[in-house]
Formats: sequence, structure tokens, C-alpha cells
Amino acid sequence: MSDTEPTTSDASTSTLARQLEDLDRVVYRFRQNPMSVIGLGIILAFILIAIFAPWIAPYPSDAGYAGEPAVHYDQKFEPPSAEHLFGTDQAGRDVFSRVLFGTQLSLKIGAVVLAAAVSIGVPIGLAAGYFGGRIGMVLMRITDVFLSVPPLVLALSVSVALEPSLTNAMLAIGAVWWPWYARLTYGEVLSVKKETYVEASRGVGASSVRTIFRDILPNVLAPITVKMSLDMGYAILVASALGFLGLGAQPPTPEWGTMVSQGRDYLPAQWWYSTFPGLAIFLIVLGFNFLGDGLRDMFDVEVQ
Amino acid sequence: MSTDSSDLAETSSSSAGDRRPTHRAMEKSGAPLVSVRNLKKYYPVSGGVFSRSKSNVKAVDRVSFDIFPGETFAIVGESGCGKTTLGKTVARLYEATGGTIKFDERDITDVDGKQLRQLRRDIQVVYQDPSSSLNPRRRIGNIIREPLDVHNVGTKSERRERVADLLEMVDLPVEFRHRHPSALSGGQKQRVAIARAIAVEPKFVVLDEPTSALDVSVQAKVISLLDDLQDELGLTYLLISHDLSLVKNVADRIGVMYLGNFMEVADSRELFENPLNPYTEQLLSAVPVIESHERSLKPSAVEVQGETPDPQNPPSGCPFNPRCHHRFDACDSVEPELVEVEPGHLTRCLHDPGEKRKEVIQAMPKDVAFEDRKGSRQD
Amino acid sequence: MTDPILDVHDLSVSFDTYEGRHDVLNGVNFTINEGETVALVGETGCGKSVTARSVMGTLPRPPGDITSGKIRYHGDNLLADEDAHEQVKGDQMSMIFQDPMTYLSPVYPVGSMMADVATYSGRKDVSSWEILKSFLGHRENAEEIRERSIELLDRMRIPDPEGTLDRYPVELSGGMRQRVIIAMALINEPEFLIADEPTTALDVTVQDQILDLLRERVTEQNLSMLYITHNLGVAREIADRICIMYAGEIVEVGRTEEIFDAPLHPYTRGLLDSIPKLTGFEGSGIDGQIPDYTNPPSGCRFHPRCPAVMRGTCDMEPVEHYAVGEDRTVACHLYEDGMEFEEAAAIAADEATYDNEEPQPAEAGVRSKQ
Repeated sequence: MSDTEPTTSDASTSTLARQLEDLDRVVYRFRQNPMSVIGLGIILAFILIAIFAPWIAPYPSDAGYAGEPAVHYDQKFEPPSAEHLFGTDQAGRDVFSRVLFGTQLSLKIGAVVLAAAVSIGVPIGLAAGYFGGRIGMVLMRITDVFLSVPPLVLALSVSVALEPSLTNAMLAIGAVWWPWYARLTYGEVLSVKKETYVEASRGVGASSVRTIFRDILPNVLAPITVKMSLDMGYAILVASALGFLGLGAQPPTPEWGTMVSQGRDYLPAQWWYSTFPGLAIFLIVLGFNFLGDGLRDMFDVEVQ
Repeated sequence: MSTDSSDLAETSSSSAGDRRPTHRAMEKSGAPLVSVRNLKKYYPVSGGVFSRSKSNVKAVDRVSFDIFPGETFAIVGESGCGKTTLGKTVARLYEATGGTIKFDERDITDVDGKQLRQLRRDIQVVYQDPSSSLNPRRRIGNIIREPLDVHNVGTKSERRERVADLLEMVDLPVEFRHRHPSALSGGQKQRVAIARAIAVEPKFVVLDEPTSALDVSVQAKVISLLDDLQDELGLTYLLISHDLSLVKNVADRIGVMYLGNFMEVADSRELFENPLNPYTEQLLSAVPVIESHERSLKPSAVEVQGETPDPQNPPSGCPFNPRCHHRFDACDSVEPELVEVEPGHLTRCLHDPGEKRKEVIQAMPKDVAFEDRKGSRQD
Repeated sequence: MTDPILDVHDLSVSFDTYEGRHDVLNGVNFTINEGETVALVGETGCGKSVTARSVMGTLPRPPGDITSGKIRYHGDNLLADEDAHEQVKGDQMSMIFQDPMTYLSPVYPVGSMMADVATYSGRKDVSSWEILKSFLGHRENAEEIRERSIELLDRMRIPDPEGTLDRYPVELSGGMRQRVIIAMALINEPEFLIADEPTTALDVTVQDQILDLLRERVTEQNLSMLYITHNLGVAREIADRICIMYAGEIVEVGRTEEIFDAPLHPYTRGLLDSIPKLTGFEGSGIDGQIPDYTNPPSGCRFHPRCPAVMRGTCDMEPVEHYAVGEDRTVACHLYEDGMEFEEAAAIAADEATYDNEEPQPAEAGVRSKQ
């Protein structure tokens, strides 16, 4: 026995058991903050709804499942009832079914926007931070130019310039979102780069690419993940705003922002048309925010 | 190796000598493995936001020394003296501002690209703080395998085996390969860092304060591990440390560094028995005593004064003059050179109790190249 | 002998974490007499800082929890009365820290911080009006405080004490900052000092000077001091008595010279042997690691690492503090209560030789196991 001997008897336990213990510890830290558990619950519920919408929704065809959304003018503007939980809209479509299907769209929008933002922003931040010097300066000045325009305004102009559609809306939002990731990644890389293990990696002769992917990227992922979680809700909100302004998804697509916008004409008498999609937006944004806070506590990182 | 604590005093001085005969024998023979001449590393500092004027901090300034195969050369000094910068510049982690570094009789000061990567196989570094020198997101096995992967050593299964061997060499259980650094204690992490350093069989290892982040009971074990590995693998060490007691016990030769250059260079035993430089004397007299016998080994009646000045504004003349207890008029105007006053014993000081050195130094023209004197020492 | 100024009795502290309950301190006992400096020495995680914080009343609770024990200051149990603790802390105690920059504010000059300490320390009834007035430069007895500060800085051998009062901490070197901290700790003329590794971050030459100054102050003002350190050499320089701490327990207490000349506890011996010395270095170290506090070893907490372990005794029977000779206690089954010091020293010497002749299987290392 030397100082090499493990303190507890876990030397003999398997890798799997140790990974489970690691996981257990992560869960423990996550659970320290009850809000994050609520957030996780909300998000899991939305994901389940998105997956099983065709089976849960009482009238899938009203939401455009397998074809164009159906219309039933005979049933228009029925208030919430056992038959139509959230009432019906101006074309007699079941709002409840449409809100359920809207979940799919919203999550998709969030995922696509963030995927675009991350896949542009993170490499730029990595390169700028790691190489520094002239390359870093040029990359970060470009980023600053994008950051100096209000995102919604930029997204609006991109959407207007292109055809108003859901795809273009996602493109537009992605285009204004990446600079935040470039910024965040850049800052994190600068601090990780100072760590001795990065120098050590160079010291054994590792190439720049190897150092970036093995030693730097894994250590900047935590704050990026936290930011993604916080941004998910916001991206959905912006997409809804574009939908609301008529520049995003076009009716009769069951997109929440578009639905709120449509229902606005019938307020306050047919309140259910706008209210329920609005509540869905509220809940999903709230859920992602709680989750993001929990993740931040868990990783113990600062996000800009 | 362990002896009775009660008879330590009698046996220790001889046992301290016994630790090194193998390296000592090699030292005198053959060419140096590492040969550094007039090495400089300056950092630019800007004069302020609106000022364009730039000055330099001379972290390492005109340093020359040789390290012979199989020996341990130690650099001791206080924080800010440039010892770590010197070590890392020699290991080619930092770019030198001037001077030359020869490794195996080849000039490596400016090699880059593929040649530099090749060189990394021969020169490795062990860092001070093992918690930050190991990537927290990677498993121990991957960390140790990194140099093997980078240099394409052997097949995949051979590398796996090599990792197991390396863990065994540093006295860690093989199961540790699956763990993350956070699951290890400080001493264990430093063993992992050592295993990584020796993975590709380097010839030369820079040890940057390898034990100062560890608890004493663990320090001793890491030091004896390093000592064993040196014998087993025929390694040459450059040990960077602030701990004189440690250095005395493990180094063959020692350079005492202050504000970017050596104040004194000598064989380990010679340096402690016959310190010639006032700075060495002050360092030695500040060493905390553990054992009563140590008191007799410290210079008596030396008062320790002052602190290392800001390297941006070094004093004129002798860098140590504001703190020196042997200071005289010339010290703040004449900059002393490092001179060999006894075979293998170099010191940088204008003062000499026997007046012999002062005359020598003052008679010497300032621009006499350092190499000339250094060359005579090697003969 | 008069009553001790500080008497820590059977202090136990636990911390709640994910792994469970850590029994970080397990019945810590020590006393400090008036005018005496006692060093608490141990390695990382041995509980020495937790002890200091408990005495100072700055233990974070939760997660910390003082489960039992008394801290008597001049005979009053501080743990029983929080207000009294606060009062004593403000009036009679001061603390010196390892890193001055965490204690000094970067945005105030040294003089203003010293004046604040002099004005507010230990007072609970400060009105906001008074703070505002002080802030704007209308401090009562400002002149007197300034004089006092200059005198203190001068005593700490700070060159140009008057100028230093107007400087910011960043303008001072590490050694000067530590001198300022000590001057600040002394400004209210405390009678008890707690120093938590005040020289660890300093170079040896600076450390040497700071220790000299501290010793000089302590003797001149007849201060009592609890000095926390991991460095035995520093403890030897500063302390009258030394308590060696291991895994939340004090394992050996004795007068400084005696501890160094004849260490009794196997842990103390191991520690002393581990340190490289100018006279030589054995490099043996101590096998194993500090134990897991959620499930500490039964019996003596050191037994799994002890070269002199006696199976059946050390791993079963809880160990007590045995008084050996005068002013010496050791928590080890090798010794008996009331033993003469010479007898104990002979046992210690015996054990050391025994280790040498017959290496324990534990010492062979992992290498042989594979």
C-alpha cells in the first residue's frame, strides 16, 4: 500500500458501476435546485407530447396530420368543452389538437435554429480563441458587427428579404443567433487555453486540431450547453414573434405564434383561440429557462 | 532507503551523497545533453493605454549552462526569478528571444513543424500542479496514452499494454485507467503526469516544482519515484524548485537564480558547504529548520532582507545589491558577471572576502564573452 | 499554573455533503495558555482550518455542524452563547490569513482600511450616519488612528509607513501586504491571535522575515496565538507548543523542541522523516492516504497507514490521549497513560528500528501485488 491505494474499496467495482455513481452525483447536484426539476419535467412533457401528438390529439387531421388541415365551418368558434378542450377556431378546427401538434413544430424550430447557431458560432469562437492574433481579431470583429444589430430587427429583415415561410424564419433566426455562441466560445477558450493541460498537450507534441478537439472543446461544452438550454425557449419565442407578425410559418400551419396572431382578431370574445397557444409558448419558454438554470448550477458555470 | 530517524544525523550526510554516484560518474564524461548559451526570454510590456513606448521584462537574461547525460541539474530561486520560464523555454514550450539551445549537439532553438514534434519525444515536462495539468474530462488511460497516440507508437493493443506498464511503473493500480483525474488524490495525479511524461521514453525531463503542490508525506514518495525512474530509464532531469533542502538532496548540480540569471552555479555539495554568493547565503539561512543538526549547516549571522524587486524595474548594477548584506560602493553601478572562481563553481558577485575575486572581476573588460570562461570550465 | 486563555474541549464538527456525513473533527482537545503560541500542524484535509474557524466563529453552518464540545475562552464557553462569541471575537481576537488579497479590498487605500478596522471592529451599534460621516472623511479621532497606524506599520518595519497608508494593496509586494495584514490585526490591541497559514504563499526569505516580526510582536505584547500551518519548519520557528493533527484528531501534543527531537506518534515520525532536510532525506513518506471521513477507520484513525500497527488492538480499540512525562500527550496504543518520557522515547526508538529490519508487507507497494 502506498499513496496509490484508493481510499475506498471501489478499485474492484466495475466501470459501469462507477459511471452510475457519477451519474448519481450529477443527479444529486441537479436536484439541489427544485426549479430545475420542474423545468426538466415541463420539457420532458413537451417532448412526449411532440412524439405522441398523432395519438393523443383527438382530431389529428385538424392540425394537418397527413394532409392539409381539415376545415369544419359548421363547428367554428365553439368554446372549450369536453369535446374540444381548448375550443375551436374560425375554421372549426380543434385548438387542442393544433396546440399539441404545434409542440412538434416549436421544438423543431428551436433545435434547427440552435443547431445552425452553434455550428457557425462555436467553430468561429474556437478558431478565434485558440489561434488568436490576426485571425482571432478578424473573426471577432465580424462577430461584433452582427452583434451590433438588434437580433429581432435583423431576423425581420432577413425574413422579409426572403419569402415569408417557416424555413426562412428558421434561417433568419439562426443567422442572427450564432454571434452569441462565437462570443461565448471565444471567452471560454481564452480561459481554458491558459490551463496547464493545454500546454501539456502541446508539450507531448499534439497538433493544434488534436488539442482543440481533445482538450479545449470538451472543457467549453458546459457553458455552451447551458446557453443552448436557455436559448431554446427564446428561439421558440422569436419564431413565434415572426409567426405573429406574419413573417414566419403561414396559416393554417399549427404554429403557436401564428395561431396567437390569428386569434388576436377574435379577442376577447373567442379568447380561447389566442390564449391556449400563448400559454403553451409561456410554458415551454419557462421550462427551458428553469432547466438552463439547473444545468448552470450543475456545471457551476457563468454564462454571459 | 529509510533509515532510523534517531541515527539519521550520523548517516544522512553520507547517504545523501550515496544517492547520486551513478549520475556523478557520468557527468564528467562526454558532451552535454543540453547546452544553453546566452538564452534570453523577454516579455514586452506596453507603457500604458496611450503610450506607444514598449519596454521588456527580462524574465530570462543571457543564461548559459550545460546539463550532462544522466544528471539532475536544479534551478532554485524565489517566485518571479524566471526559473519556470527558463525551464519551459529550454523545453521549447516558449520561444526564446535570443541565444541558443542545443540538445544532443543539435541546435534546437528554432526548429519547428515536424522536427519540433519529433523533438517533443525526447523532451518532456512534469508540471507543478497536477490538478491543472491533467484534462479533467479525460480518463487516466487516455491521458497517459496521449503521447503514444500523437507519435504513433505501436499498435492499438500495444499502446494499451504500454499504458498498463506505465501505470505499474509509477505504482498505480491498472484499474485507474478508467478513472477521471478528479477521483484521484494529488499524489496519484502527479504519478499520472509522470507516467505521461515517460510514456515515449524521453531523454530529458523538465520537472517544474513537481512536489510543491503536494503534502509532505506524499512529496517524499513522488521524489523517490522520480529518483528510481531516473536510474531505471537513464533520464536527465532539469529540476525547478524553490526548496533548497529538496534540491540539496536530489540534484547533482545547482544553479541559484535571481531576476533572470544565475547568481551561483556549483555542484550540490560544494554549493551548500561553501556558498560564495550572498544571495545563496540568505536563501540558505531562511530555510526552516526541521532537525537541530541543520542549524550547523546554515551560514551564521546572515540577516535576510527585502524582497525580490519588480522585474520590470530591476536595480542597476548587481541585481541583488539592494538586499545584500555584503554590499559596497560599486555594487549599484557595476554589474558583476558570472565567473568561475573554483573548478565548477561559478558566482556572480563583486565582493570577495579574500579580495581575490574583486580584482579579477574589476580587471576584466565587461565585454568578455561568457563562453570563453565557460569553455575553460568544461575542460 | 493559571487557567488557559483558550480551552478547546472535545470539539466535534460534521459536514453534510452528497457522500453523506463527514465527521471532520472528532473530539479535538487542546489548550493555549496566556502568552503562549501553539501551532496546529497537519496535512491537507486534517481539519486544522475547521478548528480555527470554529474558534473564530466563522464556520459555515450549514453544511458545517458542531455536534459536541466546548470552546472556553477565559473560562466562558463561546459555543453556548453566540452574542458572547461575537463580543469576544471583536474585542479580543484577531485573525491573520494566508492570502492578504482576499482580505484587503483593492479599492481602498491601506490607511482607510486600517481606520475602519480600528473604528468598527467589535461594534454592533454603528449608525449609518456615522458610517457615512467616516466615509466622507469626518471620522472621530481620525488623527489618533492615523498615528496609531503609522506606529504599527513602522513596528512591522514597513519603509515609509506614512506613504504606505495612502497606497492601495496592489501597489505593495506580497511581503508588505502580509505585514499590513498583521498590523491591521494588531490595531485593536487584541490578546489572542489566530494565524491561518500566513506565510504559505510567500518566498522563504520573506517568510523568514515575517516570522521574525510576528514572534517579536507576540513576545512584546504578550499575545497568545493559535498558529495553523502544514509546514513543520515554520511551526518550529514560531511555536512554544505543537499539536499534530491527523484526520480530525489531535494525535500528539508537546513542547516544540521535544516534538522535533523525540517524536512519539508514528504519524509525527513519518511526517518528520518525509521532509527533505539539509542534513539528508530518506524519501520514505507515509503509505496510504488520509481516510474517508464518511466512514473513518475503526480504532485509531491512523492505523491503516501506521508502520507500527498492532492488529487486534489499533484497529479495534479507540485510542485516548495518554499523558507521557510532562506536558506531553500522545494518542497511540504503543504508550500508556502516565508513562515516563524516557520509557516512551525508548519505545519509539524501538519501533523505528523494527520498521527498518522487517519491512511490513504494506510497504512493499503496489508493484509487488501485480
